[in-house]
Amino acid sequence: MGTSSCPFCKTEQIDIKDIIKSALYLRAILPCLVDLVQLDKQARDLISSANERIYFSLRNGEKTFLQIEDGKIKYSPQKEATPSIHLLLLSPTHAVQVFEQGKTPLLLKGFTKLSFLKKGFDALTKRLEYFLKGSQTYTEEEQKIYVILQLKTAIRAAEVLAEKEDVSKKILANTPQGILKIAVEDIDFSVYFGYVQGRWQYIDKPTGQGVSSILSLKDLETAKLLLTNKLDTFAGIGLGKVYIAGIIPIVDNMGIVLGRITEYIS
Amino acid sequence: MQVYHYPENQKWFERATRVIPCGIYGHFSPAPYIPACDYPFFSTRNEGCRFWDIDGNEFIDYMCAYGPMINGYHNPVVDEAFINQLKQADINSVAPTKMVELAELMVDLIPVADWAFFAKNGADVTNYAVMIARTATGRKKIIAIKGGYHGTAPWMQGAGHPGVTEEDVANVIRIPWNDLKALEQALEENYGQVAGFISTPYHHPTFVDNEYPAEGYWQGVEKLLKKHGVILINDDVRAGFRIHLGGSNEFFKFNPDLICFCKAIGNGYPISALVGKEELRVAASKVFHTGSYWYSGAYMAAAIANLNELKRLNAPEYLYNLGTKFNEGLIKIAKDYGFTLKITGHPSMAYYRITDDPTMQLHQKWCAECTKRGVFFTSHHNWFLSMAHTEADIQKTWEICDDAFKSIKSSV
Repeated sequence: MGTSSCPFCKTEQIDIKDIIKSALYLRAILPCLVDLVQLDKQARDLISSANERIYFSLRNGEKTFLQIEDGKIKYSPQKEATPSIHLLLLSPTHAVQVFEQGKTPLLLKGFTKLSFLKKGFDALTKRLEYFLKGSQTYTEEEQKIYVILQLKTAIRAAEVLAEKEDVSKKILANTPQGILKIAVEDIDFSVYFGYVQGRWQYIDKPTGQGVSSILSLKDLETAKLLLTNKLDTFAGIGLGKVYIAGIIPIVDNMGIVLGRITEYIS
Repeated sequence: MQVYHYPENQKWFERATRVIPCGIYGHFSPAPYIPACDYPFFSTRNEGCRFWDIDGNEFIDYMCAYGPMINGYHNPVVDEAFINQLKQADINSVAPTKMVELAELMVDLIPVADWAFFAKNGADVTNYAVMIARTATGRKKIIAIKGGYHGTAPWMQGAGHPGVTEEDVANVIRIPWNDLKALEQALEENYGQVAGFISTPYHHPTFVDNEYPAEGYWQGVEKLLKKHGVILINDDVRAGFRIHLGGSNEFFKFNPDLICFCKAIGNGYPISALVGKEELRVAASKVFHTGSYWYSGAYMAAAIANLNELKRLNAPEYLYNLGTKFNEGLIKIAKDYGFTLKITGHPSMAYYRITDDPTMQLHQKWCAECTKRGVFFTSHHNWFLSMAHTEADIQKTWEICDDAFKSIKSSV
């Protein structure tokens, strides 16, 4: 899918799919670098000596600010400080080409940081890709990282779809407002998605408002099956591998929204 | 009080998952059972208002097979009619005379009906009703209520649901229940394009409190539909024959063009029906709609016997009175433990919700505790009473509910 221009008004018409995909890369996938370096020593080592502030800006669109310091990464959806590296994405289609086909973003700042971008940061994103693409040869520890990163990416992606995709918007408009907790029991991990401050969004940790629905997966294996679309969820419920409780339409409808992510990224 | 365990149910479920998607699919799947481990999955026997699961646990059944059972499982009158016809002929190469007799009975029983048509499931006739409305009007669009359920055909599901395309639902407009302004707006915005308005006689969706029509609602609906030449379809699949033998519209005092029945017609023998007004007979005749098993004489004989039994016993009145008494008792027991049990909808098929926990987990726990003690309750679907439920069953149910409230009270 690419861009086309309107012969009447001469403005560029942008494919909605590219708008959504670019937002998914900038708001769901890049923020996962924060979790990656927390969970994975190999990733942490790649940035142990780096001290950079990378700013991805999509013209008239999403922004991603990553502050890399002391082996940690902080994410913000807007510029938090003067960036040391500024990468401009000219359009959603350009952004998709950058993330999917390796096309080069426009470097506006950080000409002396090319070595970090080409080595350290590139290796870091490849490590993230290693976990997001899935593999049959993960170690036990890597399996855990895979499940956590996948779930966090999925929930962040759901936020993007809730905001930008018509079908998801319609589904969530007919969903009771509340907070869903998705948990993996054997690794004591939880991630949250809910209706807070007037919109459906990824929630780091619910404060004030309690959890209204639970989708709990018994173990990593069940989570992995769910994430690879190999889990018969209803069968899992009957077998005690999946537990649901609370306001069930939130669980049901979130399942539909999460299922739509693969329409855009896989 | 002793609580049930389900080892054999679990074994059978594991076996089922190897060969059946979901293990058990659709509304019988484990998904509505919260937690699933507190519920039975497979039954081996039933009688009256009770069933026994594969582990031998006995349940007083308040789901009544999700509505079809109304005269009690293994009702001797209905079963005898079925068996007698089965011995003569069930499925055949030409239609059974029982089809004519059943149509005559329904036309006499239901004031709105001038003709009747038979199928197997509720969705068979909701689909047919919509096709007739489109044929009669030459229009495409259908107005339905948000949260209203009319089967699983793609046009009745939401866009984005697995297997449903945007095109499937493009001609369905959803409006809120009890909202005449929304109906008027939908009709004006789609002027000359709306074929039918399909709705249950009162709003009985899952997961939320059920709602009766507001004063003057149905009269307002009829007026608007008449003005716009739109067919009124009463989906009485779930409530039909429980509230009024002439169709639930008689109870709520409105006059639909078509009524869809299923569930309680055959006391569990699979049959559904669409009845309609004379003006729609030709449109009905033009729509080709059929199925391999829609001419089964034995099921029609069962339906005749069942409807006659309901008439003889004045079923709606019995169910209303029993339901009212049952509900009053439940509310009092809940109150004794400091809980508020909200009951909505018709007393014969009411919807229950403990309001003390907005996340519903307390309600889910209570339903599960009741089920483990021998009364089969699901958390978010309306329950059903039947003619086989007696005052003694109600008394026993109250005792179980009391113990279940005691159990959840101690865990709160």
